[in-house]
Amino acid sequence: MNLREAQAVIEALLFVSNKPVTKEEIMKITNLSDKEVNFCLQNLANQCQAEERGIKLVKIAGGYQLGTKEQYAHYIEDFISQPAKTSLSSAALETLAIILYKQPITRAEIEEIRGVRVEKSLQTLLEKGLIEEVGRKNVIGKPILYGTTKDFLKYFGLFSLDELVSKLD
Amino acid sequence: MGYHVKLEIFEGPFDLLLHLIEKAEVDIYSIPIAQITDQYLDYLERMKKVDLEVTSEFLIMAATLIKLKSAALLPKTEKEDNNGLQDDEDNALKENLIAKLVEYKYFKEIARILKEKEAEASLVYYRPYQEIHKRDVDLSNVLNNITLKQLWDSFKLVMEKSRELKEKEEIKLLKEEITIDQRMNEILNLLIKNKQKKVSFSQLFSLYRTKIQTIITFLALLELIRQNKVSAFQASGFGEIYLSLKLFQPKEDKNK
Repeated sequence: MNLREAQAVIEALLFVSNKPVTKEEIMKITNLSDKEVNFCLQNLANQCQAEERGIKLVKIAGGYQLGTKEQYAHYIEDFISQPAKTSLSSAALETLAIILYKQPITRAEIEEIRGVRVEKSLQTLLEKGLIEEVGRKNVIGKPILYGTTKDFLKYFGLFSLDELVSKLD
Repeated sequence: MGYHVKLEIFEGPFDLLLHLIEKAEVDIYSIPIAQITDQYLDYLERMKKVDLEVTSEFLIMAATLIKLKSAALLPKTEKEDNNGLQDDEDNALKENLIAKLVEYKYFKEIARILKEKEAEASLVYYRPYQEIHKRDVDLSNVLNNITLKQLWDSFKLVMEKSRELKEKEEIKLLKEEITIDQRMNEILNLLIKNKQKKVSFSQLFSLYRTKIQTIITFLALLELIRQNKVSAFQASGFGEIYLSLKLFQPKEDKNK
């Protein structure tokens, strides 16, 4: 299999997948080396950048996935008769930021940092599947510990948590 | 309408405090306590004016700031034992507040970045679009080795069951009609028939299952006690309560 063909196979794989495909998975199926896969992915990404293409290669949640280009979002919303996605409140985002960096963490500990009660935000984040209960803290009352979920990276279009850390520095 | 008040909304006391510090263009580590405290209290006043609830979190922070402000205003006298201790305490309070502010600011920054990311990511659609996949069930093999006949039989069974359930529900919905007076008589009869003329509280309530029955029984019991027909006593704290019949009821006659 030459590299042009390999790139076609990778594109086909990504086309059918409804979740990010990892580089390891691609390597296993195509029998290509890390370098070769990188080359194909880079080539595919470049080609998608062409003006006449509506999709792009997205590096997300530890893998790769084909997604639609941002500028065409409203056409898609019209097409699937769905309003634009709702966004999280700043209260929920602050709560999530704390959980992200301090997990596993209890409600009381989050409240200590934010200086306000966080029950409602926790409820929202749980409903959206962005956080989950990851256990109980071994102190009096055995309070619930929270952590972020796999869907968290997907929701924010992130490849890994490091991506956020580097932004901060 | 008399006047317009434009009031920014803050996520909490730290948020408000950070805003004031940023507005004053000073470093977090060298807050002009007196000035910031006044502005903070001023904001709480304005919150009250527009009927925003000033929650306890805001008030606790106000108390802390006032304490720090008063400490800063007091002249530094020669260090006596007590004053020295007081100074240490105030310093610790201030340091603690600053540490919390710094931490909060950090997370607020992360929240801001997350908001940007969220906005970007919300414009990208994937195949097939799923906001959250809560159930990761593999549906591809669910119907393996199942014949149409089996499906049809299962379907019939489900329908039958749901019909049965519906019938049962209809029976459940029958109105329970019992008045407090009727229940009072029932309780009295129960006590009269009882050899020891005594029934325990839990025994009485074990007779009734539904919420409404329990409530009516309780109300009836209260009424009986009020009318001095029944007395309740408890041998020890958290122990069982016993109800017994008051044999003589001269008081009721007097009342009439």
